[in-house]
Amino acid sequence: MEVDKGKGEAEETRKVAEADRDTVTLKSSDGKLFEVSKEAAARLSTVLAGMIAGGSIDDNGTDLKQIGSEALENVVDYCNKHANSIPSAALISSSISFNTAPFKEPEEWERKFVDRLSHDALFDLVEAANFLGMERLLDVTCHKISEMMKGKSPDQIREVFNIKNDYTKEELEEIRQELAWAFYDD
Amino acid sequence: MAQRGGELAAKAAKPSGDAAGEDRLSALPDDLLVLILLHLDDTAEAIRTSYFSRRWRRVWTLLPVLRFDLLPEVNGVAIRRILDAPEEAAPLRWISVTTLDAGPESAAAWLPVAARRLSGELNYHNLRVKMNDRDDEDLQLPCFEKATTIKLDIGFLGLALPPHGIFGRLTELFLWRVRFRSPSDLGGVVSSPRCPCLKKLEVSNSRGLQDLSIHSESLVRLKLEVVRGLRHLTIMAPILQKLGVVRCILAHDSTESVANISAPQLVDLDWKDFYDPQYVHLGDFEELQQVAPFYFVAYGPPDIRDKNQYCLSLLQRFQALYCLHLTLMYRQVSAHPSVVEYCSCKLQFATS
Repeated sequence: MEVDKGKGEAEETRKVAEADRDTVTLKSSDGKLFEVSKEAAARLSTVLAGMIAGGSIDDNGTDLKQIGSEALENVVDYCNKHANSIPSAALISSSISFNTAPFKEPEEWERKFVDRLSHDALFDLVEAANFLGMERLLDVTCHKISEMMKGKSPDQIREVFNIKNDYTKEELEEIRQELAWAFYDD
Repeated sequence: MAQRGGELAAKAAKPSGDAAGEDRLSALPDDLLVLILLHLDDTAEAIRTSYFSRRWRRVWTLLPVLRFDLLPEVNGVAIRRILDAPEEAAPLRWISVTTLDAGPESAAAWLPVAARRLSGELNYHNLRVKMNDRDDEDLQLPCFEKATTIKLDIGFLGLALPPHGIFGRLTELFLWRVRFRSPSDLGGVVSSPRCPCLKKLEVSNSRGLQDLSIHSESLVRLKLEVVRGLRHLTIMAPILQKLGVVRCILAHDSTESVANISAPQLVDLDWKDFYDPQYVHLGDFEELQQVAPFYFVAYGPPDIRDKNQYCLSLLQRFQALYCLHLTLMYRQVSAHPSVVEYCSCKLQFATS
């Protein structure tokens, strides 16, 4: 982000002071302020890392207009918890999914962190993590959503997520025939 | 099962309260839906999501990885349809197929489409339970112009290599349990003109490969293990660092040279095979640090010790080594005369 050059020396002084602090202040869409460890924010979010490196962090609260206060609180909470947790060794597993990218299974605290969220809060957090480029948090939240789908029939999954079936009967039959093998266990 | 699932569904939907019938999941952008699908257990589960609604009809076609493991009703044609379906499909990074006792027609159905789409790694495993030697048609391998890794373990199906085409991005090729049709031009395929980036090649537990001649500017690691019936081996590989030849040319019975190896950068040589300097010509290895020669039978009747010469002759070739891996074999004395057992002892000598 381009910094407004017209603000002069006061701006420069403020920026130096900002650079010395070890937290950053983030402002939610509804105007609430949250402090987060600068190190954790830079490590966990590519967007915040870019803003910190580019000096576009506002001391009075960097505006994150896309993120509501509840979601931002969860983001900040996650960053602070992450900063304080000791990562457990070698939980990298490929059996957890068919993805080939090594996915480190959620730590116990990460699991609890997403388990306590309401349905809406979970999706708000997914969107916030996506907006802020938080790869790990995205993985953990998407993993949680996939777990809500596993072992269920399409009808049951529609019910969990309020997905409206807008197919005609004929279309459903067509898909079923086209991909018959994928439905073998029904 | 359906009842239990229903309870779970009700439980998961309840805590929302504020969701008020809104479909937050379907509203997510495609890349996040793909990320969620990648956390599911397998490709079939991901493909079943197309049944949810129109929004979901083609989400699975954006998957960069596809895996089909021993699915009961999946056949080669079904896999081809899945690979072939989407016009706007995402680049395919990885595909893995495992079949049981499949004939060559199974993989022949989908390999050409995979060759067109794949820009990453191919894994094909054909497990064999029925070991009868069927005289099938060969499996025709198409040319994978964009793939970086190919791993084929085809349960001794015949393999026909593509007569033309360049594997322009291939860096790793593994061929396990392959029956090559003689004459097979594996050497021509893996040499520099047609595999300009190949770094790692492994052929093991295979048959029918009599002559192998590799001229590669890029090859760094090469392993040939139990390639039965290999008679002539030529390797010209200026940057090869690691070479393993294990029980391939043991049945040497001619008076011609059987191996010519030129690998001036070689660091690690695992030569557990026939060795007689008259027939096996190893070039100068000025960088060589490690050698593992043929097993040395330390105790046993004379007739089984005649191959000890392979080990001794090879060792005589080197003045100094940083590390020597020597395997000693001992014949165990058994109370039962028909039971012949060996135990082995691995020794490692290293100098600093």
